[in-house]
Amino acid sequence: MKTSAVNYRKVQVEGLNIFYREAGQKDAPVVLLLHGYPTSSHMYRNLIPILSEKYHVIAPDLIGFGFSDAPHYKSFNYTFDNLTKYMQGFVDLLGLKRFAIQVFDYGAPVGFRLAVANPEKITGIISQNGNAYEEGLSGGWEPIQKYWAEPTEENRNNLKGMSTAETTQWQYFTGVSDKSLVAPESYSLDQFFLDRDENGEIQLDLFKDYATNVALYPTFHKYFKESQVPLLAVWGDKDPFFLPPGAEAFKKDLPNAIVKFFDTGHFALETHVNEIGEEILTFLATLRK
Amino acid sequence: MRKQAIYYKTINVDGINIFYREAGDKSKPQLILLNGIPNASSAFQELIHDLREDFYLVAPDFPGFGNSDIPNKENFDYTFDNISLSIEKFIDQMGLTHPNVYALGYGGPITFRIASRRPDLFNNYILQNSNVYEEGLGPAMHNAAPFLQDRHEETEKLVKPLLTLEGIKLFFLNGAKDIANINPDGYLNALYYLSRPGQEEIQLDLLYDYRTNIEEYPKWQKFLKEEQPRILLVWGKNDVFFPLSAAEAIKKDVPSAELHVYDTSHLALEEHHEGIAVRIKAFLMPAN
Repeated sequence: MKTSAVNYRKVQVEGLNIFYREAGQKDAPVVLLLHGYPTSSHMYRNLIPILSEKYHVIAPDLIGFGFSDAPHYKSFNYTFDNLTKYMQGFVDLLGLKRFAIQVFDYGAPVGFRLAVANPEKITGIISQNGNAYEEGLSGGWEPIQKYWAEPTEENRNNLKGMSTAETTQWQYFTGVSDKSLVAPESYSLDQFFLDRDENGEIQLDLFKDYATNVALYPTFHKYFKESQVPLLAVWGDKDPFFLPPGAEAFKKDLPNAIVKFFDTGHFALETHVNEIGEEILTFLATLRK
Repeated sequence: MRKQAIYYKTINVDGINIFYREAGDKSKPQLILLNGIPNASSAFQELIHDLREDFYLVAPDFPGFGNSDIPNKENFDYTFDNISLSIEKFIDQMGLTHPNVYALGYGGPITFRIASRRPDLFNNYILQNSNVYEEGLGPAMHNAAPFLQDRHEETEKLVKPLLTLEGIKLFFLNGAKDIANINPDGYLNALYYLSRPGQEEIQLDLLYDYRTNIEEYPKWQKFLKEEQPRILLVWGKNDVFFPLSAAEAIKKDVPSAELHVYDTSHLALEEHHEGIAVRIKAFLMPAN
């Protein structure tokens, strides 16, 4: 059987279509890959074939992102709690009993919420620039933090520039020393989704709700401390949003956490998928089933 | 073993930045991959993954396509002949001395125009859903025929839908075996690029120019008959543009051509890149 064949499917959770990529043998240990902003499961396209030789890989798109449904922002509550609720429904629908999660950016607060709610299901956590500590937040968050402090129309509108093609490309290229490694279809597909009608408003709602993630950091820390879940941090050390101290901080609550840095930016998988893939395979091999 | 990385670069050819994907060791056999509508070099992304350890691979976007510059219509004629001149110079500037060529769709006419000028340039030919014979024109091309004969507002209506999501899906999904195998990234990215301002006019200019390819077909057939080049044909048989009859016509004139048929769409690599990669390796590296 071809192990690298990827299937592209949709399932319905509470009336909304959730798109996901699936690869690998169905009876192999499961790895759930959760994407970040402003991308989709597309960001895992090159990692999936590396992992799927040994693992059953599942990479969904969050509601509002990629090929999953994106209901209008006035008729759907775009909060991280709500995005997590649909991911929980997705996990339950697929009948996933035990799995490792890999989280990046927005995938981290969603994945950590899932882990807190289902500690018995989580075999391990891979965080690729997926933050859970205040010391990981860079100055780049200031305009968003200002909107948290004063949720005015003006402060909301000031964030609209974060969803333009220029900013999306900036996110991909900042901190990358060899820019010729970044595939243009990454930021162009992201922009296609961001440019859809009113998707910008969805993103502004989520920028606002990101404050709830920071508020939950102590809850995540408590879960780490109590569960001592195996954790691998693979971190682009020139990420303009999530700083290396955010990766090191996992060790405060998880002394056995493995932390590896890579000389790249936020979207570390665009430039270092083979190196990061090797680290992940080594880590996954140590997990209890 | 460290896997070969894929690079995304540009090179200036006559003032136009030509974007290209590049992978593999330069000491390996050279393979240039050529495609046009609807998704330019991104059509080859998975195939490049499959072949990057064994070949030096280069896949350019034609001027006006994908991530290459889009020269102004006033400064650049969007014709197959003109694009073939750009790509010929690109081949020389890239130091591709005697490349093998993989031609898909529009890539065929570009390849044969270059080969007509420089019959010894290409080493072996891999043709995939790319046509050189009248009998190889499928229903989607017959539908476009009135436009190719006489371009005006009414006939443009026949072909403009090719640039919409529905039209792009004709290339990706029409005739595909299982849609769950087809990565939706591909057709939405194609839509993103084809929806850019000015694209419709450029793409219609070039599609209208396809009539000159049909005029050139007999010349390229003569080339095939006389030169008897080494050819691998890999074909999505349910293609509505260039169906299996296109491959069979080539095989009639070049009996040694090796034909492999796939139960899929025009963009056969979407469902069968792994199988096609195996055929390419066997064809270009017979010792294995």
